[in-house]
Amino acid sequence: MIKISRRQLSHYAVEQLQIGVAPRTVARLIVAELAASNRLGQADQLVSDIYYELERRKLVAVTTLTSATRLDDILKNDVKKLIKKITGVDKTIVLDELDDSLIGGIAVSTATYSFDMTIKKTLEDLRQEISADGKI
Amino acid sequence: MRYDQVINFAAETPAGGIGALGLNVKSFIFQLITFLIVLWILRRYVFPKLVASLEQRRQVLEQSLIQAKQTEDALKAAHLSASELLKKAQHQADLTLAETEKKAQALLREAESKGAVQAERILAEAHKATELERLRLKRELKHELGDLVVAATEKILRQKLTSAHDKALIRQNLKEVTR
Repeated sequence: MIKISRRQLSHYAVEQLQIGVAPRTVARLIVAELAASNRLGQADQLVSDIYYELERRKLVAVTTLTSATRLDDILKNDVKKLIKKITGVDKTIVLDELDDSLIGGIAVSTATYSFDMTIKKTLEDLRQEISADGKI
Repeated sequence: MRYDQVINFAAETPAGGIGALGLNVKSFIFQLITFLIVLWILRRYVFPKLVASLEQRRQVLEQSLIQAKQTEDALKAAHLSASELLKKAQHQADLTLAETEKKAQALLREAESKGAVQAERILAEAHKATELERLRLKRELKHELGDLVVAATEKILRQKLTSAHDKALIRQNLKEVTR
């Protein structure tokens, strides 16, 4: 049996989605292939590969948005617009997560782009700056 | 003349002449003969031995004197030699002492020099260790200061930062990214 690489699988999945095959059907095919090749442990990595391929082809940017407080729709739309502008994709899917340790601010990441503007990151930068030799 | 004839002659000699002097000729002759006999005996048997003994004694004394003289000379020579040896020994001792003192001073100078170099090295190492320790403490202090500043800031922010503030901050961040 010929083993198909993860990259090839991600390309295949995106192409199937592009020609209009239902996502559920594509998912079944992909999972069947992973199971047949005994690679079910690589499912998460394959999903990331598919996200990357979707974004590279400027179709969809799956965006993870992490913040300390829950964001309203206006802010989410602002983020979507920003991601579309930066990546040039047609559609953006936002997966928002809450993380109290961030204190405040927002961290955004897609398959090809990310920025961290949280207070936690700012404080960590401040700590590094104070600890660095020659600063004080 | 036989002995008894002499005695008789003496006995017959009249009281005149020697007898007039009050001497008894007979007795005198008898004593003279006795004297001569004793003299002969002495010369024949005693004097030779006595002379020989005295000669021997004289020779012994002479020999002793010669030996004493030789001993005295030897003693003088020994004194002279001892004095010479003593002088030589003294001179040698002085030389050795001077040499030893010179060596000791050289060793002392060398030891001082080595000691100074070692002291400088130890001092330099101590300086280096102190500087390293100072830098380490400075680094630790900075880390602790950073931790303290961050902890204090975080505490204040958690108390003061409201949801509205957070949203405003996020909007501002997004605007900055857009630029």
